[in-house]
Amino acid sequence: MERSLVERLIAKPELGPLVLLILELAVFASINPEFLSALNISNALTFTVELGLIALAMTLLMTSGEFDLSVGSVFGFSAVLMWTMFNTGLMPMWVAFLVTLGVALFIGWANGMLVTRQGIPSFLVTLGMLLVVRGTALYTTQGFPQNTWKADDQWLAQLLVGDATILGVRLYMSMLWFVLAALATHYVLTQTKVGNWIQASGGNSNAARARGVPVAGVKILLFMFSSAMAAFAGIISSIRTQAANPNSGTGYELEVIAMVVIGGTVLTGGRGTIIGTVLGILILRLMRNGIVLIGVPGLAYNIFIGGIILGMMVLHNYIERRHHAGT
Amino acid sequence: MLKRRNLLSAAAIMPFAAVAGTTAAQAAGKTYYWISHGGPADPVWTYFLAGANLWASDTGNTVNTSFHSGDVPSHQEAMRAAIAAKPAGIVSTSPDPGSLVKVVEEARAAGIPIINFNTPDPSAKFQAYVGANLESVGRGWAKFLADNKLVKDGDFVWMPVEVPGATYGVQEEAGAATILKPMNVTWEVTDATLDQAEVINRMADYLTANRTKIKAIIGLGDLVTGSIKRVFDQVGIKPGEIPVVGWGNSNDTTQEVLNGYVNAAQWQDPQATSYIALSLAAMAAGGIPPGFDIITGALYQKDTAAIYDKILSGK
Amino acid sequence: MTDDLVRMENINKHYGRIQALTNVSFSVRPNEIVGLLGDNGAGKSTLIKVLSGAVPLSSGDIYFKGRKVEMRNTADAIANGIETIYQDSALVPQLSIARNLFLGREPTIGPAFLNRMDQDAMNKVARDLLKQVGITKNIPPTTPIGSLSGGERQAVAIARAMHFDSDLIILDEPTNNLGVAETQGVLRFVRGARDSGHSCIFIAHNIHHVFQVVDRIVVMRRGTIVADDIDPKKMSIAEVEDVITGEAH
Repeated sequence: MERSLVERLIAKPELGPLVLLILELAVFASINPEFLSALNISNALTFTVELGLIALAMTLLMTSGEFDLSVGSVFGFSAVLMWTMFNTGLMPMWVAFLVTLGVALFIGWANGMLVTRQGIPSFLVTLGMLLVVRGTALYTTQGFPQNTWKADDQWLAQLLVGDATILGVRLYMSMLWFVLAALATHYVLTQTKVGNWIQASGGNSNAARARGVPVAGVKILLFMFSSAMAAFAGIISSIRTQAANPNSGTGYELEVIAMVVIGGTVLTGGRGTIIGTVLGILILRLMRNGIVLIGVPGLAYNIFIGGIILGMMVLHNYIERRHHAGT
Repeated sequence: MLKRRNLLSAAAIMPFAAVAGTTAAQAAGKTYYWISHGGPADPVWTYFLAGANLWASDTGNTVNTSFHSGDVPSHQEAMRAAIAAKPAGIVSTSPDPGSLVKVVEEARAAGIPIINFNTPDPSAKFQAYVGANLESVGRGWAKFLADNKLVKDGDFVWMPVEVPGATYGVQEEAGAATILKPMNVTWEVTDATLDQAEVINRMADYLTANRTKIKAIIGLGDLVTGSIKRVFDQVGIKPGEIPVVGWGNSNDTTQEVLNGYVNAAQWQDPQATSYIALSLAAMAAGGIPPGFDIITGALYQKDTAAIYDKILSGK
Repeated sequence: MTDDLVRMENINKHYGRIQALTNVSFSVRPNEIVGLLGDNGAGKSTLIKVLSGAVPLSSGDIYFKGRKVEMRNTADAIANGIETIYQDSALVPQLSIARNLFLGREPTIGPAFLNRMDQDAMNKVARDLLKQVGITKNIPPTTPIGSLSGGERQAVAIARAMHFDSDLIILDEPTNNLGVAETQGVLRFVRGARDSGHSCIFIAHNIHHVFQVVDRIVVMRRGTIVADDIDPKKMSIAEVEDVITGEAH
């Protein structure tokens, strides 16, 4: 007998994160109603987009059973690369943009090749790449950040990060890009052939290979997508914050992985959820914003964030186990 | 298959070859080490670095530089490595009060001239210090706010800082406290990090939550003070609505002063500090022991900001 | 000879200096279940891996339905109509029954660039197949296959092989981790597969299982074939065991 609607809803891995998000919103809003104000929400969401783009790609990659720790470095390096090429007058901005994406795709390809052909765990490959890319960014710029002041009259900048204020809420074009990317990755993962291959590669790569699935090819593509998203996010961030620092993006990889895992994608691969990741993104970002708003002492932030992440993982586990006990 | 592997190995070797090439070209004069606790892409540090590079080219000496982003063990390790390399001299900042006492002893014992710059640490036996006196800088900021009636008894002041607990913030806060405490002014130090996007994000969040409470802002570092305009714009605060004073060693801040976002900013003369520190080290290496500290710094406002803006844009 | 389904001639396979297969010639006729027996290290697995494209041969030829074929990878084998059922069934536990059935050759619907799987068609076929293999519980085809029992999973794997009309189904120790009832189920399916026009190669450690289903037994020892045409109706289990170990009768 087909399960009832309620039973099916409870079985979904996204339920846990959804409950957590609602709880979080309720708690913060009750302590400081400013939390739900238009200004606060729009502020909180702005930065969210940049990390979010990377998290979407990371979800697919983790579903296939791999990690990419180099995304933070690619984030910072890409902004620096594009602005350097543009500021030195070498080429128009849109060309610099495409060249930078090309370089990022190459970095992703290199990651993918090392993991699939050499059989080195992705954790280690991308850790090495993290250092190489970051070092390259610092060395080639000698530490000088690139200035991004000439961005305002560039059509590309407007297309990527232009903003408009609607009903008192400041909305950026980058939010639109994020929504599109989220819809696209969700579609790919749940509705397409490739999506099936991604899940199979992470769930049982031997089985996938035995059935003729090009596991290596799929993974290489996902590494390339991950780097491209990191580059895209880095460029968007540099335009929005008007700074292209070679040091930007440090530590983002762990924050992104935390978002993906809190959202319900399994660390070991085989099952992924874009909806969950979007929830995870909101949970983490709104939490950072919320604890400031409710007046947690400034220097104690990390205690709270770490504690809340740990608490969420325990709650997550509890819900997972209860839902599996039934099946 | 073979071709692809060759291409990858060639690509991997290239950066190493490039580095080898450049270091070979630099082997002139004596070698000095310049060690900083700052972040390599923090705007102010790029000017300190520029001062060091200028000194190197002016004197024909080699200056090996390194940044440690607040990581104390990493900073100490670098100093020990420098001592082992037996250079003509070492100039270094202090990441944390007391963290370099042992290392400086080792340098003195090895007979290597060692000069402190940017962040002072009197507990360590450096031969001399070049830079601002951070406690008096902090006191100066608080005094500016008090003298100009921008802060009164019982008010609340916000002090954002990049790396909480690091020497610079701690000493500046202590200096400001000497003025603010007797006025019953309360304050809070918050963690902004060294990542530009994160800085804007965290400051915007805090400001949104506390805007009615905050009567003045003291930016304990260059990155946070330099982000004020972007943060104010994000939160919808007009320039001048909340008085701001703090470090001003970047174009971001000179522009903010010129446009009214920041009332007064501290010029640390980053290039000169680096340059003079290295000169003192060279002087000591040449046999003249430096017997004095050199204090740098000036608080500038709208009327003189243009000068510093010009110096900083001269890159 | 010429009406063999599969013919492997003079197959050699070495891993470095280790010779795993030496001049092995092996064939399977249409509608036949062949049992491949031998002790550990005899070369059974290697022979099967070569035939299913999982491992490249060092020298020798393979003919399928009279035509010479190259087995460069598993996709080639599958394209030629050879399916392999492994101990772990080559199934992905997190994926649904339907997705597992069609893994690697999912039907698409709509414009090519959208790459959209036809999940309705997949689910329908899955439902029919589940009935066919006698899984009486009403399990929706969207259930993750990990929640089925071992025997049920093997049944699905065999049904998959049958559905895609593979001429040859290779079963590599399919009953190893199964209970008695489930084993009987698998053996029944294997017979059913042969009866509906597929051939099978059945490898097992458990001679009793093999004896229950195969038409012909082939024994390997140390990388070569030592007996090619044993009729299970004419020889006893004890006698076959002697052939395997090489002891005198």
